[in-house]
Amino acid sequence: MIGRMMIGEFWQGKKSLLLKVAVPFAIVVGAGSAGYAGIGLAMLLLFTGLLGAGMSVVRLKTAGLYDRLIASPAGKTGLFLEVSGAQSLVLVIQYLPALAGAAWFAGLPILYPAVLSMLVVAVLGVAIGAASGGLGEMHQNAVLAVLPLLLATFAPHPAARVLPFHGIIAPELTAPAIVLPVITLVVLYLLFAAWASRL
Amino acid sequence: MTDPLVASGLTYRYPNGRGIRDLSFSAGPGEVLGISGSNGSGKTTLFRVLATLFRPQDGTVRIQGYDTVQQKEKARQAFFPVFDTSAHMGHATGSENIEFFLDLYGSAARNRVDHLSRHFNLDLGLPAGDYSLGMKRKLVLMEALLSGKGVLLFDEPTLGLDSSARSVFFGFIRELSEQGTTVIFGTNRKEEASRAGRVLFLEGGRLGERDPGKDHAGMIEIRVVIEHDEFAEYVLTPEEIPDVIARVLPLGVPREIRIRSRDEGDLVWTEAALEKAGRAPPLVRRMVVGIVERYARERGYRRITPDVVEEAKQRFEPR
Repeated sequence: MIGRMMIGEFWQGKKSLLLKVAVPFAIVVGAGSAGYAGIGLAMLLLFTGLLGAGMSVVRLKTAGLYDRLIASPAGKTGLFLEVSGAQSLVLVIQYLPALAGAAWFAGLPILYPAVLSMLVVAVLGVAIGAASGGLGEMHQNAVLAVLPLLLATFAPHPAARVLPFHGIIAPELTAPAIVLPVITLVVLYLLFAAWASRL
Repeated sequence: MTDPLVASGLTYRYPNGRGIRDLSFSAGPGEVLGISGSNGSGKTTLFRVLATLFRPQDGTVRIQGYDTVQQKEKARQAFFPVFDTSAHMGHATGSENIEFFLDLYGSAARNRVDHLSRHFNLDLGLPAGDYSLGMKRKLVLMEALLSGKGVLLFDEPTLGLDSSARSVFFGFIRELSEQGTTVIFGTNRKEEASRAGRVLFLEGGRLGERDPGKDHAGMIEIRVVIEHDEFAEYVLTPEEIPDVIARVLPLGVPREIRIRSRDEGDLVWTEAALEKAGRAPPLVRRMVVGIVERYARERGYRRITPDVVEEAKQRFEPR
């Protein structure tokens, strides 16, 4: 119920949705035609995906909805997982044409790390939004989070495989490339759930 | 048996030194407790601490016996908070929002939705995002009134409400309080504070206690009984009385209208004056008496004669 309501709340009208669908698609197609579809998609997800998820939560705070959710007896772990799940779903839907474009230029294996990356940015963005007092603080925290993620994305080191972003740039369907990002995602969810349960 | 809400030594200070300091109070079963105070006196901070949004830096709050820090989840099941915003899921209709928030707060009661929406004159079929400020406030108040919780917390409940909706709200509050619900509400309006059985006055984050009756000295009390609901309004001048009555009339045919001045000191009516005022139709007789008394006090008359009744009549008679 919470997740369904949150999807509706994160959906910001047809005009806004059209823009959010068209711009990533145009960027990925533009970058893809120059041979950089993966880099274009990874940068988009790291910046707009993370900021978008953070802003959605800050918007809930500004409106007063966040307080109503927190003060309720509903379990906060489940509540935050539902909120980040809703955010992930909205993100995936908005990026569907961009994903199709990336798959066209870089091949189907890019879809796996791309979808995992969306789940990571959604949970990170929601966590950053929840931990920030306002829009300014959220931007600052998001930039701080993006910096190490960027480094990990472009680092040629094998350890970079723990994050799915690296796989978007260099898609590979090896066991470490498939399993490691999933472990990272699960650890992130568990950390987030532990933090949320104290609210 | 302990009181449904007990706050003890409650302190929450912001870095700038403001906030609340060492507040201790309790609210008994069925009690309507008003927290009055000017802007910045600490009311909202207090409500956020009571509603578990802020963790007290010192002191404790127990709601239905549960400590709001140590037994937070159980305490949260025992109350329904209304904050100073009226946030809703804008894309969902009023009905869907009621359903959602009652589910979220673990409330099963749905049977009075139509009754309340009729009294609040709220169309629940519209998306909440299309509601005006006052309509959103009505919706959040409805959710609280429907929640069936034993403790209701309201921070500035009538923010953005028109006069008749305020009366409807306080009518329902009285009804719930008679059924044993404990209500705590914050306000900076004197006329609202007096709806409480007891008023705590916050100033600079500290508490004092006031007799709510004194807050209404010099005001006119208008009570209108419609069906089983009694609405009370307080105005400063007799000229405002017809407006108040007109606002309440759409809710139904009044069984009784009582108007009295909250001034102190008795007035003496002569028999002839009483007979003259008594010619008014029964429904408005008490209103006429209230208006004449108010007029007499304004003029400094202690004795009401037929001339005073006539003067008051000429002044207030609709043209």
